[in-house]
Amino acid sequence: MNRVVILGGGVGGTLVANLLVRKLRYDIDRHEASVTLVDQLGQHVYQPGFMYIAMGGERAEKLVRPERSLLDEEVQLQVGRISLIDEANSLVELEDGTQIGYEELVIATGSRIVPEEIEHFGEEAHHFYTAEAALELRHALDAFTGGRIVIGIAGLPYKCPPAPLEVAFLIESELRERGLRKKSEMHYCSPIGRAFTIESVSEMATPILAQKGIELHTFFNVEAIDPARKVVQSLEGEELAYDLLILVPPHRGAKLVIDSGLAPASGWLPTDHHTLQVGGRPNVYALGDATDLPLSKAGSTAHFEAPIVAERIAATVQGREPNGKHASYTGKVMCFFEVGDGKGTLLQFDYDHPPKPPTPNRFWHLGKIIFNKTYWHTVPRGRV
Amino acid sequence: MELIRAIREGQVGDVIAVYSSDAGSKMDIPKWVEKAGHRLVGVETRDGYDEIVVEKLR
Repeated sequence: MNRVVILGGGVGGTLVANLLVRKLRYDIDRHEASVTLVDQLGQHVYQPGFMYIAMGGERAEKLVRPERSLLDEEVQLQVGRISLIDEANSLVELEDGTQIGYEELVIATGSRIVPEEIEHFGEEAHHFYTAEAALELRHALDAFTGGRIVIGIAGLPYKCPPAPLEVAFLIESELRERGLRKKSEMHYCSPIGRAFTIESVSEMATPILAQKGIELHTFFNVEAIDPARKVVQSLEGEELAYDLLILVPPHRGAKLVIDSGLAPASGWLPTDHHTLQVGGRPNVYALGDATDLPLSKAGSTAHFEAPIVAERIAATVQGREPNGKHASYTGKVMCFFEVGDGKGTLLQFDYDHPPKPPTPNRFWHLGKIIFNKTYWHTVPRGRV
Repeated sequence: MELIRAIREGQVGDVIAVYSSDAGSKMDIPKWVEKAGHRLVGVETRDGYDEIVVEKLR
């Protein structure tokens, strides 16, 4: 019996599960293989929608569906919090004591935000990395009547790298529409020496920042917040005053993988760039935000990694070599990028080919909106 | 980015070496080190990567 156990019901875990049962249909029917997905809540959340709670009238309840409804009926779903990955005994243990043995393990436990690592973050800074926080940001924007808006990044790496730039562009558009732009200053703080990590994207975004009058501060790694003086301070020794502060919170990998000895304190799993195996282990794979790969932490990354994990595991179960275009991961990622005023662009890249974003236009903005609406019927089921 | 994390978590006086195969690193890191008020100890080009050494000063 080949038992495949997948930890996490996000984009990566769900898609691996559905692709695997397709590849292993014959083996599952003969009771020679099984696919089990463990998710702590049994709910699948479409996280890219959070930004639109703050910026586009999206509603939190529309971003959640039961995980069971997205899984092939051959996938066994176990709902519960995992307390330990016990490598010595090849099993995972849930908090309620349930033990699930595995031959092949897929870790798709994502990332978590740790705003508490920056003192006063909770009282002073807004973000859009949970549905609740995004709604609070919406309320803060509704109450905003002019002043200094500072948007920054309080830790690398973080989920959806374009998101803070998108939010800056979208807020700028909104302020113009509301007649508040002349009464407002906008500041964008980048942790590195340019507006965005990928050079070609930075070259596209920097003139847009300038055209929109958003001041760019480079090498500004947010380190501390002084609530009494309403200033945010950088590791590099600078400070900026704010009336409305929007910060990407620090991120870490799942505590479970740190506690189980698979990842260092950062929580990012040491993952092979091409096979997606963890730390040289032949039967443990990681994908999505959970890895330490030099790629965007984004659903899209998990989406393009999942077929490789599924193919490699299916090959092991069936005693063959992985084959076809999904034998090895090339680092493919594709994501939309909003620039405001109803325009967007598309970033498509891999390990060896940086993106060449097309000039922002209405088509790619609509592409993103349509993708968000049709997500439930496409990505988790492996239809795109 | 790894350097920023190491500087954040290190002690004053720590010397940190970055090995990077990204050609941009030997340009970007010295700029950041200057701005952040640390000391660039040296930049060496090795076989297929650069070694950039930084001392944390504050």
